[in-house]
Amino acid sequence: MIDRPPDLDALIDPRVQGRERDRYARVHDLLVRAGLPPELPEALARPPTFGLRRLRIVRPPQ
Amino acid sequence: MAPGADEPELQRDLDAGEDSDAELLRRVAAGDLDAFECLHRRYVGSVYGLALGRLGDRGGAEHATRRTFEEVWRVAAATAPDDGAAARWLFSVAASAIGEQAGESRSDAEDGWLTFRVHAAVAGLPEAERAALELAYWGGRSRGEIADALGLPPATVETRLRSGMARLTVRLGELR
Repeated sequence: MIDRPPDLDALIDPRVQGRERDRYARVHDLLVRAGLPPELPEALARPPTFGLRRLRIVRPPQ
Repeated sequence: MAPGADEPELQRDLDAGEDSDAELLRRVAAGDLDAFECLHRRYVGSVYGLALGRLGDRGGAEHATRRTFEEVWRVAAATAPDDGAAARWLFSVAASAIGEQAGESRSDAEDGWLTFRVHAAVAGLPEAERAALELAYWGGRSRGEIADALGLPPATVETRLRSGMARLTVRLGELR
């Protein structure tokens, strides 16, 4: 867990300005709002595979 | 990389050589297990985060996450969208699995969409960009500290941060 949100100026040179900086600022805001994702359990590191083929539903012919 | 370019050009440059969510979902619908694995890698953290936030227990969240991906595989050919709304469709499949795990008949909460979307977009970045952004935003490190951690010059770190953020600008364009 981090104590405070990162400072955009500490990541992207403050001399980058205009539309380009506006884009970075918007993504920066979204990343800060989303926050830290939870640690993924080992059991979810791989997708489920057992029996997947028999689970399948196919779209009926048009 | 041209972060200052107009967005359609930016999108074309950034997406070159990568599978979009919609393309992956089309391949999953056709029974492609490699695409399923790629989609899982991109979305598993988002689904688990959403489930943990709603259910509050790790075991239940793990079960709901597994159920979500089983359901994605099961119904992709029948119900997945073909209009590029792949992330929204995955979110709705996850919300249903989580609601089922919570004993709710339906789940219509929009809470969690932004977090779900952002985490999946970061997970889908090229490794070099993702590592730099994760250290910055979820590790609380400055550009210099990231450079030390990755053994790279600070200028290279900034290039990776900028290219990753430019890619996220395009992928998260609908969020405000």
